[in-house]
Amino acid sequence: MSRWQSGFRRGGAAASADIPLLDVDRLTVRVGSTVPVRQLELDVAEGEAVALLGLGHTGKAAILDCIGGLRTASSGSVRLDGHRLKRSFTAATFWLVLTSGLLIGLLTAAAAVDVDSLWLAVVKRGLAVDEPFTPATFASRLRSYFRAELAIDPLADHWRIVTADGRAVLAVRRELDEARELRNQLQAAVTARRIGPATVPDLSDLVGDANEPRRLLPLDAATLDRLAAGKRSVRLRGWTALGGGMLLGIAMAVAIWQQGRRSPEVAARGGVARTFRQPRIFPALTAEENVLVAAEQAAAASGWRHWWSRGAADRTAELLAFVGLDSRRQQLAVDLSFADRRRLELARALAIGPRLLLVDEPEAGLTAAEQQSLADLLTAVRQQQVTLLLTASTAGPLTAICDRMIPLDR
Amino acid sequence: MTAGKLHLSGLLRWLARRWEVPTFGLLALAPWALADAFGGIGGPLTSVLILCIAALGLNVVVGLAGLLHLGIAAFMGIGGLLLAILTVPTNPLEIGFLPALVISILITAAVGSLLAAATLRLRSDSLAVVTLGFGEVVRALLGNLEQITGGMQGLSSVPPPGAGLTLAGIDLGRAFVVDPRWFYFLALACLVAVVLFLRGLERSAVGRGWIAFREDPVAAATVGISTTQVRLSAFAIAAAITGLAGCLSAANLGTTGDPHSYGFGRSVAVLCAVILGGLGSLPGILLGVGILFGLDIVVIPAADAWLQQLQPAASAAGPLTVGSWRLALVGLALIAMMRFRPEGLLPSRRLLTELRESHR
Repeated sequence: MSRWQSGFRRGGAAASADIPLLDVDRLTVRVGSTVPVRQLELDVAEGEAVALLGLGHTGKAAILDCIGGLRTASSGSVRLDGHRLKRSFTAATFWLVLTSGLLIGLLTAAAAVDVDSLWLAVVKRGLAVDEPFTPATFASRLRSYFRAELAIDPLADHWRIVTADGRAVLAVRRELDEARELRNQLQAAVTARRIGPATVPDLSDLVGDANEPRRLLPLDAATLDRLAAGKRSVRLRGWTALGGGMLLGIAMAVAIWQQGRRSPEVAARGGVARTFRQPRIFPALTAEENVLVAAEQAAAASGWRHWWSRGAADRTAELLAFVGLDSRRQQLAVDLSFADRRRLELARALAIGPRLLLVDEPEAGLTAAEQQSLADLLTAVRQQQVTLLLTASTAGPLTAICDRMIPLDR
Repeated sequence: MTAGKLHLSGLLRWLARRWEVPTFGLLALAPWALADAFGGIGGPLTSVLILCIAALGLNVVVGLAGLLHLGIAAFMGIGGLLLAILTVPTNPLEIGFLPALVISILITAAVGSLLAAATLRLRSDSLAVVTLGFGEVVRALLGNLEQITGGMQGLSSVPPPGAGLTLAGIDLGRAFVVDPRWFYFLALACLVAVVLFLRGLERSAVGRGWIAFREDPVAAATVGISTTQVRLSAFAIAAAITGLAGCLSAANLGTTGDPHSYGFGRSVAVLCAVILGGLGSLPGILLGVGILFGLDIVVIPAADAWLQQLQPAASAAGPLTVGSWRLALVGLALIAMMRFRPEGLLPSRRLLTELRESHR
């Protein structure tokens, strides 16, 4: 059996001697209408090996699932080194939440202020009158849109004076200068109307828009009032949508973060590895890739320096030799025998450099000889200061390697 | 006899490993081999190459990460629209092709990861429905935001890639317009770059993480693979590659075109090509697109032109065309395919094992 080093890189030894590595406190798990785990108390010290013995499988698997982050307990807590295995709210999380809120807010605001008309007002109109596109003109056009000021749009060889969103036409002029003058005159009337009751200017000489009579606004007091109210309404819509969208986006991001707080990957990064009763290998990857994919994750989590080191590949080779799958490393995992799959899953679990290894019913489906050799492997794992928590239905060679056996009363 | 057989199997094995050498070699020679026909065939062949890139993008999500995505054409639309907004002379920005391409691809990737972030908790069928809805929303926006996107006509007069540049005394802008081979080679170069990029990715930690996630999401999570990161990165990279295809398509046609060409129909056609060729297999996907779209874009118009010559006097019912039977032919081919070779024409070794596993 070749040598292999446990590679846990964070934290090192337990913080202090009186805190157990794993502390399960009043754990209760509900599965549908049954309660397979009720008020479980369990302490496992660093370097210890503990077997959970019981007849049913659901309860034992549920305990391991809770520790490994695959299942949320109904009540009670699981602590590793005195810490709950939960993702913490970091500065990066804060900025991510804020950014997604802002993004959603901007999207809803864009919809509320009619981004299409905004584009027309800011980009297209400047081009129509050959205005250079600079930050200053951009800002002034943006301001003018949010003030709901009247604007000038081209129409074949005419110019028409339109509302800021370009949807309604007030008048049409042949010359640009004429149109500009009239637009200023009309805008002055609208502004005056906004401040107090202003009279409707006499514009009886206006040319109508013969092309689209539907869009032509009558120039009366009611129209002026509507135009005067436009500024408030577009700003109100924009700010409301921005605020509402931001709140919605922040709430969504927090909800996503909250749901992912306790997850298997958080537990794995905290140093908890897991194998299953029915080995869950990646069937279409080779034996080597099965282990490599886990080793690479551990290497990536430990920092950018591992990007170009061959650490993950070396570690994979070591582990495959350790579990005795050296000669099968190029075989697809699906082609391995059941016993070999179990060994491969063990190698993959060890590849993340665990402090705590959860092994679910390792004896299931193995012959007596295979059980014995797996027990030898796990003994070697224990010698690398990896704490073991395994489940079994009956005592056997695999529970014999443990320091303690805890019968689960049902 | 035996020696000959050995030779053949050796050649086949070499082809399986190094398929890109003869494939791309032949594609690079196509303009000379088909010199006479190239005026007619150059443009259509370029479209097929561009669709190959889009299919490779879809393959990242569907083939590698195993997430069913039914709105991939929307990213082509987004990529093409962004390129058009940044380059057309009717907009004030008018930046060069290359920076516009890079910006468009980056923004498309960001939109892709936004879609992934919104669908983080969804699995198989509900994810498919949401991506389908996303695709339709994008298509509707492309049609309705008339000032920005040009509405149903799309933004036209997208300048050719080399506009304003000269290389060794050749005005590239003119060259791209006059000779379709320039664009053909640009698309081919992009396709080769994408294939090499995906090959590298598949053999990297990221790609292995995607495949592990596809095989068993629970087991992948227990070894520390972040489900969130897998989904975000797969969607973002798929969107980036498809966005590149959209940019090339817009620059090739000179317009972003009718928004309906970025709708559900296109998404499903690309998905069909990927499945026909073999999910997760790069040569399979190129073959699938080559057959499905090659038939559509290159072979059927040629066959119709030939039929037209055979029957100069059209009957009252109109001339017989292959084009009118196109969809029926494709449908029959797909049915036959799923019956006799469900794993695709050139399946990847990995997927074959998965099918075998699930039939046990």
